[in-house]
Amino acid sequence: MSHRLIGTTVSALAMTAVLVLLPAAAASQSGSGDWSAPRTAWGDPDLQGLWTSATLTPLERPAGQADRVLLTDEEAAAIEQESAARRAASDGKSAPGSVGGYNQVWLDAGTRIVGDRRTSLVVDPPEGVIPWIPEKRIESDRERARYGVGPFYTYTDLDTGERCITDGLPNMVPLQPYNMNMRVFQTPGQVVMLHEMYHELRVIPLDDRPLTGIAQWTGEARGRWEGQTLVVETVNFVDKPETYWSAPWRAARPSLRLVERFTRVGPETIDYTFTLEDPLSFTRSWTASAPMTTDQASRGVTAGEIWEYACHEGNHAMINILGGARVEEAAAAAGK
Amino acid sequence: MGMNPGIWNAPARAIEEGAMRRRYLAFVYTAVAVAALALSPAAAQAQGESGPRTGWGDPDLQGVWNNATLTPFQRPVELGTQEFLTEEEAAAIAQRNVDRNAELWDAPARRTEAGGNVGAYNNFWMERGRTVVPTLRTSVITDPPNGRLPAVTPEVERWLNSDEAARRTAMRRGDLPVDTYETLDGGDRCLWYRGVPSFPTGYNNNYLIVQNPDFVLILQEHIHDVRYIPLDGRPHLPESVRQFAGSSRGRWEGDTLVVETRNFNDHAFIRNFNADLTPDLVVEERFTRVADDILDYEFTVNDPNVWTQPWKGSLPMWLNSEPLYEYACHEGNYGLFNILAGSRAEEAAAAAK
Repeated sequence: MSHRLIGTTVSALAMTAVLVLLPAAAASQSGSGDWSAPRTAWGDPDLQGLWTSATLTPLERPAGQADRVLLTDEEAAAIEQESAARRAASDGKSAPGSVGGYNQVWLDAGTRIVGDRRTSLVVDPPEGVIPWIPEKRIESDRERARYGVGPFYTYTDLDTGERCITDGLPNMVPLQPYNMNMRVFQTPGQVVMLHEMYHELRVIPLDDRPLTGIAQWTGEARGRWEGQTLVVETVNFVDKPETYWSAPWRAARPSLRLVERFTRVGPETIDYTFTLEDPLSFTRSWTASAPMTTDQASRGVTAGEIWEYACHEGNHAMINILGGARVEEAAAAAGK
Repeated sequence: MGMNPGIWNAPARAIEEGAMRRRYLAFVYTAVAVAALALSPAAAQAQGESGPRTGWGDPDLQGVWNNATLTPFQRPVELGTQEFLTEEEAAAIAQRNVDRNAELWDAPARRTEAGGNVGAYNNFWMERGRTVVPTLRTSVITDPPNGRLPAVTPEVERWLNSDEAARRTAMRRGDLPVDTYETLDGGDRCLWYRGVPSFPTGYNNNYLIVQNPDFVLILQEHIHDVRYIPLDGRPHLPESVRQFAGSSRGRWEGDTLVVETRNFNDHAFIRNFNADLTPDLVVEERFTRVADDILDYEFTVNDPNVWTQPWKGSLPMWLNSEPLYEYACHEGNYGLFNILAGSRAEEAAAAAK
């Protein structure tokens, strides 16, 4: 329950920080030198390893920043320092009346702005925001406002992540303050992606086998190599319009088509972009870029394996949220 | 088990000749391979040439495999020392299953009265297997030689005969109210169903294997859970890290993938055995593709705190040509809620008397 609340807070802090800084842009991409992309034994580009996409950069450009594409080095550094200071200051504390969330030892949020210092992960449209159809944006805002607020009549009033099912695809989007790790395995003909959150596994065939048409939460994916780039197209998402998602843009739905591109651009970096199409939700397709890194040490995290993810075990949040909501109802009824 | 290339080619013909013939051939080839191994170390060395290979030279175990079977886990006591069925006996078991399915298919839907048993899935959902194992063994357990689980330690014996064990069994059967969801097992809670080694149940007996030079992954259809098994010789996880799927490390021995698993968490179990296993549990699994469509699966289970000796089993799997899909365990599943609500209603009714 609390993980998304914390996520929202972190994003809000990042946005606030960006808002108060003055514009001044400069772009630089770290040079690749004479590094050459590794290949698997069978000649495919090698994407294998344990990757994270955690970052302080928000998905959408904060309101009022429409003409700011990039932060300066100083602005990025200031955001990172402020974020670190806030995390340290907030550790173990919670607002009055709130039961609070995890303390910092449990969290693994991004601590850095993406390398090119963009103000948003969304790179297209150039405004850096999701091109919602206007009424769909209103719906999305309304749905997002329910998160952590309710009303909680039943368990389906909690989102798919809180129900330990899935956050949907794409899952390498740094919206969570923890478990933003993914292990990539490759073999001739298939790529396998094991995401730490929910222990979610995708087995992606690289041949052109026909789609089954069977709808799933994570859809049906087919991959292919385009030069150095792994391109994964996913369709056949489930049609469960009544299901609540706190990030409605990635709610599974049949009209959605996801195209992801993974390109290894350095020993510790995969350039990861995803494009979403849904003519029922968006005025146009849109694309975000969320670089993935293996560089755990720079984030103060020890490199390791992916463990099982215990979502249900010891998790009494659902009972307590619904129980608390019933108590509140009873109190309100008694007070009237 | 290794085979020479000539034997390897045979199953393709067998498929065209029908299922019964195929079973027979598979059994013969396995037996021949066993004989070859036993007779000649050279034959075992030569096995590197048999069976499909990956591009990097490892035996290719990839595909979707199914371990549903009509063979019982433990040998029925009345079969005594009979280790294998005859072809006729195997055919009769398969036929009884066909007849039973037909009977269930034709039977009218069962209805229940309030307070009666609500029943479970109808036969459409069940996947019990169509045949016994291709080796025609009379049980999955191969050692002890009687095909039955070995004696348990005195402590476990006391547990199995305890009131608490009886209470837990009754609760799980629905004969007693269930106090809390934590009393129900990992399968009921959609956490972990299969265990290691994995035994067939009423449905979802499929396993997708993907491999590369460094890892083997086994995606279990049930719970959509994945085991990933490093092959690079890295040490096991520290003892403090314990998981449902434990810590698995694999290696190739000729045509066989050998996987040792330890570090199970405190939910470790063997299906249909009413005692928890302990932190000392170690399982060795051996996967060998003995034909295009048969993956031999043998295992040794050792938990010295539970059993007085290690025990072994053999459960070959069939190749399944269908893909795996997601597994919806929670969605539309009101079982846990209704079990607990029903239990509270029973308690209230009992208290009112």
